[in-house]
Amino acid sequence: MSEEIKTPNYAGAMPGDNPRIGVYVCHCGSNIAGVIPCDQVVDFAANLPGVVHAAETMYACADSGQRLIKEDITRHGLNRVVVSACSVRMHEPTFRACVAEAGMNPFLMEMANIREQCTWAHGHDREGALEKAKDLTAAAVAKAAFLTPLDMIEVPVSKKALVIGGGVAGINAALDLAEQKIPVILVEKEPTIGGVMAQLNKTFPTMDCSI
Amino acid sequence: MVDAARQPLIEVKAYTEVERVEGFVGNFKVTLREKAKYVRADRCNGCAACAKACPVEVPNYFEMNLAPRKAAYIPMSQSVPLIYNIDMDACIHCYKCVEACGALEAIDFSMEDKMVEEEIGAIVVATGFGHFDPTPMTEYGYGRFPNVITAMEMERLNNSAGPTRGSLMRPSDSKSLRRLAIINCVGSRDKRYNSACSNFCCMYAIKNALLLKQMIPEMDISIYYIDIRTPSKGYEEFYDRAREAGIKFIQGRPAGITEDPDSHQLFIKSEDITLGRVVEHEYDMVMLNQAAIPQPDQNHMSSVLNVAQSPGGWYMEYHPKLRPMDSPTDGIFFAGACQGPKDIPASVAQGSAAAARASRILHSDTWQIEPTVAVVWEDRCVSGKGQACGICERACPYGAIDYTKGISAEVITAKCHGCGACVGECPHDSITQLHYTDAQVLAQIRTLLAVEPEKKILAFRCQWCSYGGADLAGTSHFEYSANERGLRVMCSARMDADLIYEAYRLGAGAVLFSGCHPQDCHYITGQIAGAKRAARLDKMFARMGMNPARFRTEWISAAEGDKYARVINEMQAALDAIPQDELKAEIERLKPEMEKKLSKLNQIPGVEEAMIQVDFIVSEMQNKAVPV
Amino acid sequence: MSLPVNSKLAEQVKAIPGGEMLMMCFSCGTCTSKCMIQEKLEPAYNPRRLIREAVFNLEDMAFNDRTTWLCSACDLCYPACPQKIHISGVINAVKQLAVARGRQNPYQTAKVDESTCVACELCVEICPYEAISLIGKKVPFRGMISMASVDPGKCMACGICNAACRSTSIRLEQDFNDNLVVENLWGWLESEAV
Repeated sequence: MSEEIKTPNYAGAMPGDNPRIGVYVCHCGSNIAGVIPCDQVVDFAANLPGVVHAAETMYACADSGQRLIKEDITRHGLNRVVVSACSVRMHEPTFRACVAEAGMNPFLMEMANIREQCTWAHGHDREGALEKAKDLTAAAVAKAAFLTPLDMIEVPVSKKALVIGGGVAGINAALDLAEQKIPVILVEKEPTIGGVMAQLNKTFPTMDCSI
Repeated sequence: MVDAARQPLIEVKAYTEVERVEGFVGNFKVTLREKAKYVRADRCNGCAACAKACPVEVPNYFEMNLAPRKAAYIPMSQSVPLIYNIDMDACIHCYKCVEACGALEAIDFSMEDKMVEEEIGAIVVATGFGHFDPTPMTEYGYGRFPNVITAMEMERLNNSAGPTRGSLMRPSDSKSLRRLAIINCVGSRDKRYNSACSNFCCMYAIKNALLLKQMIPEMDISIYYIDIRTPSKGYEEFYDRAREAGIKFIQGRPAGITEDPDSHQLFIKSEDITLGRVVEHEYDMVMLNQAAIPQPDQNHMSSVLNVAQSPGGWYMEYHPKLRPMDSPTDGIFFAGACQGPKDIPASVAQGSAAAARASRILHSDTWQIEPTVAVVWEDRCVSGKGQACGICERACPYGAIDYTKGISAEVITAKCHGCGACVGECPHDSITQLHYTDAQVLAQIRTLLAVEPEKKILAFRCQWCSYGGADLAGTSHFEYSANERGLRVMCSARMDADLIYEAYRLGAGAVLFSGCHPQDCHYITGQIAGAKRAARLDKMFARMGMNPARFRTEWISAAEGDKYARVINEMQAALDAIPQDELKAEIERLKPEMEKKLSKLNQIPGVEEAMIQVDFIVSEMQNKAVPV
Repeated sequence: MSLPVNSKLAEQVKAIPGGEMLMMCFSCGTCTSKCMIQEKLEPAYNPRRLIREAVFNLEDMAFNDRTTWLCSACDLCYPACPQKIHISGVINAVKQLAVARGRQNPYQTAKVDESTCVACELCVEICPYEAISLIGKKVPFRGMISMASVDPGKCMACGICNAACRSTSIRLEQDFNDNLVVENLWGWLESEAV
């Protein structure tokens, strides 16, 4: 089966095209902008090699922020996007979907975490936080320049389920699957299904019969 | 049970074992062993004539060996499927059953185990639990004292379909009983056997007590317990009912049971903690509420399915809170007690949940897998050049790499979970991980250390735990040094030694190597590989004479924000304690050593070209930082 | 051994070898129901309660608790404990701390007769609780001499030293002294003869 699955298209670390990177520095209200001057991060990023456009945005994740990114992708011909905002655990799926809607491969978007791992953790060291935000943004830009488009790997699906164990959990899983019109093989090592449940007398908390 | 047999889309294969599972999500190839029943399923009508004719009697497992069955048998009268079995270990080949079966000709002594292959899209594992055998706990006398029985034996002894037709009697003299004790936590919450709580036994003890009280109202029943746990809906009310019914709850774990050898009466001495006194009571019978333990063959099944086990031996779920039904292997799901002891409502719920998780896959024509997988540079892999290697295959926690000497290693893309362990381990840099290629990660390291590297603490963190810990430190506003520069890979196993050397070559002040705790690893054993490498590096750096304050290994979970902040602050303090000139001299001294270790770095595809580009970014940053 | 005296009782007990597992106790009472001293000697004896007193830093209560002083470290409870707590180790730790705070063992301990002890070390070697050591002591008219000394914090009054001593220089004085033991023996022998 494995030969049917294509290894993702990948031609080495360098993309064949010239990176045109757009950088978006999110204020996140005052969460980021309250600690560091975001415009300085933007100025810094704008001069980095490969960056063709850098902008501030109040809330990158909001509809307006996402619209801005999508419009810029067309307007500036961006082929990489860096979002300096919050944690990837928060919004990586958001911005991947956002750039995908603008026709860009979602894996060409990179985030720099300048909220949880910068302004929130260094509220009393604003200068240090600014330097760190610049470095994190630069690192994201550097990585973005060498990102390659990746496609999700598609595999076919055999439309049959196997349930191993014919106890109460297995029987219930098998019934639920079968009622969804999925063929099921229910395997039980003993000569009868039922498991421990079938051996019990009444069951709590309603004291009804087990079989 | 009967519903399952009636449902046309369910094929019940009883007396069948899973022999082999190969393949990956959507495309499992499963080999099943249909054990020989010596009775043809298409002919047996369940009439029991064979069992009546059979002269052999052996203990019936279904009745906890308290009642006999024939060698031609079904475990219970309501068996599903209703097809008789001939137990060849017990059979004496008298062929009386063949005679009794007559014209039906269902009995076939020439049957053999049959191997069947099935193409399967998703697997639900619901192998259940086993029962702890209290025999090794000699203090309770199980096996020596006839009237000490286990909970499952009690289940059969008071069951109207059981060996006594539901009339409860003492095994020693078949008399009825008036005083019963139930001891909880037998083999559970006990570090000598199983340290975990078995989840349902408190309720189970209460159920049995109430049931017996209903059967024999004058019976005196005591339950010995450490704690009574009634967490689910209706459970506390059930406990109330039991106390109302006059069941005695004694808080105190008995140290032992003694027996009068003539009358087989039993005596339990325990502390009654609420009274603060040691009390001794006499009983006619004692039920040991035995621990729920993993199935005896769970280790075997876990290797057949290639899913990991938690420390207690249960199957390990993908995430204990967010994905309790998923195994770490895509397309394999858990239901019921095989993942940890569960009562009936929870098992039923997890059965449905696992079915729902599985049907996401089974209802799709194709299934998508994240492409952040490993790929092999075939021209670099030494195996392709005839050298023996196979390190990557051993490093992979998922068996996703095929290694055959003479052929370059191959990643089975659909099995790969993208931890990068193979990338970190490959001594020839012949494997890379998409989206975390060496060029990409090196680009980040160089930019993060572009300006004043000796002041920086470069923190390597895994995506799932220590990155989450750093997030939590921020969310909780635990402040730490702003000289920290974080870098994310998927797993500590991906933290290639080259990446650490590069950090020191560039003059990093300190490096933190961090990931999850061993039991939390998202990639089964990724952390273990990472930890081994970190220990190796630690030793090597010590040999090189590096100040120990400059390299630290810490395991930080996503819940340990405070620890992340503390570790960084401690590292900063230790770094500050090194005099600047000493630090700079050390960096300069070690630079050639690191360069030596990295001599082949530029041969990694893409790295040299990428670094030329990165240097433009780095020099731009340096120019900005130091105004001319 | 230096004892940590500035922290709370539970911390101190944990710092003494044998007391490490203190906090693992979930108060199931197995140790109490297993205990021979509780059964044969002292109904109020309760190791579970003593552990609880230590966990909650109830220092006075723990030091005054007879459980602290009566344990003979027979270790019947140790293999029975489902949490694998070395209970006699915990009790011993509490006792050491009590002695370090100047508490006296309320029960008898072995006593050395300084005028006859010849420092032969038989008792030092045989003591199962390592409670006896040789010390140098100034004795009137004899100058500095070495002799056996009993640590009342460790002595469990088992009497093995008493039996081993060749010069009857180390003795239990109250219960189980030589005379009482001999008297008891005669009593048993006579009743057997009848």
